[in-house]
Amino acid sequence: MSAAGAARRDPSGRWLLALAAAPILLLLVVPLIGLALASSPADLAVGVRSPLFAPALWLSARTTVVSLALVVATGTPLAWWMATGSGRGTRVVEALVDLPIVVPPAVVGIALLETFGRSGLFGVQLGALGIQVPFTTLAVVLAQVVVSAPFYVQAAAAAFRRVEPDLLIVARTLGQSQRGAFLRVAVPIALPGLVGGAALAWARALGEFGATLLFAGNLPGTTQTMPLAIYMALESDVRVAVAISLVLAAVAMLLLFALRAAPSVWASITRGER
Amino acid sequence: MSWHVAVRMRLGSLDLDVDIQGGDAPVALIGPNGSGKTTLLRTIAGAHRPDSGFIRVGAERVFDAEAGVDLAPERRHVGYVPQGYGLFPHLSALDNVAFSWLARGVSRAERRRAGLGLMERMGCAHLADRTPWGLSGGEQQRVALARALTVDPRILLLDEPLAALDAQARRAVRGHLAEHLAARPGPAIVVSHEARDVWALGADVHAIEAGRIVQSGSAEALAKSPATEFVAAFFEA
Repeated sequence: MSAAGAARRDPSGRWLLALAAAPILLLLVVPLIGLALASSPADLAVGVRSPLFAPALWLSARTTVVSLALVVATGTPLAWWMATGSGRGTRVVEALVDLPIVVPPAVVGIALLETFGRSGLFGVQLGALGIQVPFTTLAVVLAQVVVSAPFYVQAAAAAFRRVEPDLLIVARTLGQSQRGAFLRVAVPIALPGLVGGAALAWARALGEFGATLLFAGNLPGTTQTMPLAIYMALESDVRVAVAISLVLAAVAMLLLFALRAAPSVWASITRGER
Repeated sequence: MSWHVAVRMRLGSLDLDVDIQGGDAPVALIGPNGSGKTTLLRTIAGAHRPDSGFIRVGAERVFDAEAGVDLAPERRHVGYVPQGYGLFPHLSALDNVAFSWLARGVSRAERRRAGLGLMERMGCAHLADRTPWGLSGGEQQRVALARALTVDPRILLLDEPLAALDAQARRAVRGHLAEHLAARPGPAIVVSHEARDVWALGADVHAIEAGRIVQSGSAEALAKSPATEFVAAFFEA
């Protein structure tokens, strides 16, 4: 008998289980309700009209679009390489890709500073070229790429691993080059996984705070993305912080909903059910 | 048209060393799991590169280790139908059949016309707009075979074309397959794990075990005096 089956057949055990699980579920959900209740339409209007709001929204939109494009463009070949390899090298790379997930964002920020900063690893070379990276919009994008790429790469690699190798061999015998087989067979089949990974990566980039603060600073219009604007607004006007938070939370929830709905919608499309 | 495959290669734990040839009649490849049947088909298709030897199909050597010839799969003119048929799940049956014309720059309208024509002849035109999900094993097999024929293959490679079917479908599809292979002059290598399929194809048989050919000949000859326990058990059932 399966564990799930056993639990279903014992209703009292099921209630106990729910009781034990309730606190964590409440802790996950109640703060969001609190956030929603913290603001009135009038407060929201004040927040949206604040000089912090529009530049942060615009900067977040721009930087996350650029960082997502970079992550997809460079992460897709990496994911394919990981998915089609089997040696020890592949496993090492898989572990390396996970690093930014386990390393605290603040540490990522310091590490980026020690790499691209004036006294960092490439500081002299970048200085000679007249390029300053820290505390620029480029630094915002770099921080977002580093912290969000693992989410896309791992999801894409998992999706690519589910593509049967025989399908690619068939595509080759049917006239496709290696590249053609990848683009016409592997990518379409893996697409739901690629889109899901991209959405997660984008959400992570949008919420990126710690690495950005340390590596890019908190300069309005240049490096002050929405999470950083919340941090600054909290010192002057809580209504602005709440308004920005609500926008971010709404975007996140839309994204979550889309992610949950997408696989079944996709499946019904590919099955030809309309 | 004749063909000749003489290759040696190591792939994981498999040590493949095979020398077989044939003509226009279909040939059956039998052997236990992991003996190298599928690897051999994929190697002929160009998915694996042998360490030494050559693969000749018709007049052309599509692979020759000594001469440094190694044609890409798309230039070998082989029709490969893998185990489970390998239909592209994101495409309709018709788009599966017409897939190879995509690489040749055939227009969409022409792909549709030619694909439907071919499916008509294969007795599966009614499936054109269905997706592989909704097709039975026998239907998938027809679509996959039609698709493989679009490259005018010099050799057909069919990996367990009947394995995915229940007993009843198997009888019907076995007949359909034997008919098609008989009607289409040209070589075919069919991996099979059932004696009845081999009999129905009327094929010569190569038995492979642990990467080596252990016995070759007509089905009658192998059934009469099997060289190994596996061959004996295969024809006993």
